[in-house]
Amino acid sequence: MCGLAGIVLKQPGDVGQALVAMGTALVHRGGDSTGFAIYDEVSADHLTVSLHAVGVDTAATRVEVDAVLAAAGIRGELMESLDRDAEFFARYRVSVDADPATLTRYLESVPGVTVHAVGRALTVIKDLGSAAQVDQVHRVGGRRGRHGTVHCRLATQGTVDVDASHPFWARPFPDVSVVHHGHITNSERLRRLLCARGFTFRTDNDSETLAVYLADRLDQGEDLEVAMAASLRDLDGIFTYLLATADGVGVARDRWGACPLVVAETDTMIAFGSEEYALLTVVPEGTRVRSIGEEAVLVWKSTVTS
Amino acid sequence: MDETVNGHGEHLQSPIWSTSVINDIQVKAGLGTYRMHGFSTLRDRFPTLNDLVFLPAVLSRFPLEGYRERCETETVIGEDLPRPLRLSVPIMISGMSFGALSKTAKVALGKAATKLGISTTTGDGGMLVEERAASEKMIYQILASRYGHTLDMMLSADAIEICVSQGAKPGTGGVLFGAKISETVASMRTLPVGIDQRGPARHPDWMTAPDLKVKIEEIREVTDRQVPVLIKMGASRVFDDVRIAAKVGADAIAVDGMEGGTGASPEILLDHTGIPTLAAIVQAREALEELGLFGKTKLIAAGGIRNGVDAAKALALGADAVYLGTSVLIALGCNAPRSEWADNYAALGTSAGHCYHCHTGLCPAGIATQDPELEAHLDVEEGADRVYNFLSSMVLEMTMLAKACGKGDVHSLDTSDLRALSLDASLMAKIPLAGLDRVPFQGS
Amino acid sequence: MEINCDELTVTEVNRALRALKASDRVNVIHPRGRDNLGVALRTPAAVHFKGSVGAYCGGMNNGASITIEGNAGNGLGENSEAGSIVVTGSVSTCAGASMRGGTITVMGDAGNRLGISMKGGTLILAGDAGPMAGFMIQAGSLIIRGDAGRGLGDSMYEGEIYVGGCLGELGNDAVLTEMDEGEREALAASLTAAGVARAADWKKIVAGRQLWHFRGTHEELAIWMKL
Repeated sequence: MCGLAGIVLKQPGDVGQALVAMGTALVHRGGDSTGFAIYDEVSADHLTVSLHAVGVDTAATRVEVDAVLAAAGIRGELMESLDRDAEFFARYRVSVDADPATLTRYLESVPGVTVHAVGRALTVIKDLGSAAQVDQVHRVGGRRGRHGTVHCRLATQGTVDVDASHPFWARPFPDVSVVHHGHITNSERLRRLLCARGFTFRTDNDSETLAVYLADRLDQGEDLEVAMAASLRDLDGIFTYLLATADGVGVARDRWGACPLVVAETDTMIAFGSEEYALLTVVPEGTRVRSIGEEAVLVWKSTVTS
Repeated sequence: MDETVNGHGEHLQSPIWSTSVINDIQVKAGLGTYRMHGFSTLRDRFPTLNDLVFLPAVLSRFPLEGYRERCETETVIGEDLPRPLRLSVPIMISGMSFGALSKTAKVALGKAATKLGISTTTGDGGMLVEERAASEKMIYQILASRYGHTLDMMLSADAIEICVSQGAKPGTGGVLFGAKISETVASMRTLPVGIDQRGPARHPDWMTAPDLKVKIEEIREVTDRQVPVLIKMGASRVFDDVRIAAKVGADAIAVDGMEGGTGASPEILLDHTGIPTLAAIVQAREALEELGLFGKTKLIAAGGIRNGVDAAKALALGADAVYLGTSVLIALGCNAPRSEWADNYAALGTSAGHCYHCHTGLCPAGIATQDPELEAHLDVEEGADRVYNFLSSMVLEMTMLAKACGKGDVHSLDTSDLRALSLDASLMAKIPLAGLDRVPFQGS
Repeated sequence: MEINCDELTVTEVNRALRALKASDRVNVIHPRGRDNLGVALRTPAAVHFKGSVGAYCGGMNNGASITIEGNAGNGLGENSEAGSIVVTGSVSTCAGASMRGGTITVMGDAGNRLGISMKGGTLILAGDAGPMAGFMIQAGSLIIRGDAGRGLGDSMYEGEIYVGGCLGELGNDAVLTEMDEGEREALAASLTAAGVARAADWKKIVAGRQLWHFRGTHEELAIWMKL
């Protein structure tokens, strides 16, 4: 349960700053943890890996990460790192030819490590605390891009831990991320079907099940709108979710309409989120704001392509 | 030779197709719908507070004089607010609607509570002027139905309680059959006289946890931040639900176990939904501890609290106070074997001690009825006296136990003062098994 | 008189509004979508919000004349008992929830659950309503000038719903009924008074009364199973 928001810029720009502003406005809906999915230009030659390790000897673990990458025959370059007590966040660049599934399996074989995302455009930053706190620690506000989403979590089930926060990367599909408000009541059943086909999960979270379900459909050739329309039929429970890919952001809303979403468009952006209050931090007062209907699927394609 | 009759001429009972199940199916074959009744669950045994005992002081602890030395009982909810709810003892009378109960019953409960210095609570249907006048400390409930809900009622209350659900039927709304929808009740609830009221399961203006947080803020704004706000919930996924309730800002959280009473509920909900009160209290406490709010956000235990012993055990498990519902109605006269009521019991097809027919509106004791003739069976002063006596007995029981355990304050009772008499209770309540002195299967 | 939300907490704004006299008129500027503004106002003062408001604006209204120049969030005017609220823009979900008296007028569109659990008063929507409008409406009038979404008037009691535009699928136990000339005129007059354009024709929806007594009849089950 929580607040969520997203933005699609019409020209590459200050996506991070906009998401932090909206996330800060939504803190009353959830301040346990906050996560951002930021989509930059689609790289032709590298994949970005957003990685988290907790409960570890940071120096030793870094060495191990380098070792498994070498063992996998993947050349990785550490771009960014943030250390805390027995914990670190890191962003690596690896060759675009690396297979994300293999890469993830190798990396997560190191104890304490979870891959938060792999993609040609996607960076995921998620941590405990409010949007403002996560921004301060991870400098989210300075990150540029084309589109992105933010999720402010009020943990209703399970523990509050970083790896169980949104956005969920739809492992192992590159660049696919999901943020979700609601509760999917048949997620156990869906998960079992996905597990039987070989998919793995890192958390018990129903939102992670949703992410993998959607990515599976995309991988089978369905486009964004078709996959999301199928979800309206296949999911039970209440949900409003934002599914982001390298191409843009889509929203789906269930038939009960228990989880709100409003959207506003200006010359420079399309902004959407749980409350108008959040949108008013990025669009001028007086901009027309409308609500997404029930049983709805909408997609906003990024007008900028690499 | 009949194989279903044993050597003593007794019929064997199938554990699956018992005579009561056979009867139930036959009734439903005529009824075409689910069965309903009032009172409480009538299912067979499950772990309850009965399965716990206290460890009084002997040599390893110092007992206090049960009859002479003082034991503190004062309990406060919302102590940082301009108008906290102060109770002389950690006992509160829980929400029961005027409609489910008669006006005389509500007033009698109010008088008894005032005499003791504790609170009563309104129920589904709004606040009666007479009950507000009778009860010095009144908690006003906001329910999914919003029947009779007004600003005046909110502003005249000493605390506001958001009722999400109750233990007898979590996940569903209130029920009141047509026989009890009198002119007065109908007018208060804005319903047609005589219909079968089925309240909604959800509140009309908030959907999920973040909305509830805003709703609580709205309630605080409406009441100018003066009085405590409580949340009451049926015991289901207690750990998660209490965590949410605490995070959305309640001053106190009431968890109502499956033993909880009601004026009317589908049988399947009474018997097969919710978890026992003893398990609920423990999970609620753990949720508050995880958030660092144990002791700050108050915990109220409800559902089958029958006497001072149950109350003391609830406190020992982690509650700050208990809600009483069914027990005070019984003290008022529910199921009393008065000869002048024999015909009334008979008309329901039952007898004193076996009457669970609150839903019919034909309460012989004049408590769960809107019929003026039956209501006249309840004398308000006598009823108030009896409830006050019962509450006093509870206070004496609680403090006797606390003092025997060496506590100068009932709130000092804790889990180390308890042992479990059965494996089920030990595991459910996470209380060491008597003799073994630990909870089994949890390592050394 | 002016109150600037950028300079005050919500509590301070509300206390200032509660201190108004009956003849006062105040502009509340920069509300910026904040929640719980203008709740529990009894005095019949005129309160004008310049900009969008968040959830529960005008909740428990007991006499004020509130106008909102913008949109409103969830639960606009919930449980209003007297007074009026007018919104120039659109409203989110549950507008007018459980209202008991007074009037609420929305010039734009409404999200889902418009007028849920109404117990009196008049709720007028100039635009289109989302699904589940008038759910369990017990009394009062819900007037939708535009189109109504699915599930209209589900499980209704004695309220009345009027729709000027297209009807989606009706809710359980909601039925169309005839209107007489007097009713049509009264309706037209209400809309004119509210500054809402007339409709060419009106449909009136009331309870079918099939679900008021749950006796488990075959007919009831058929209605329930449709859900």
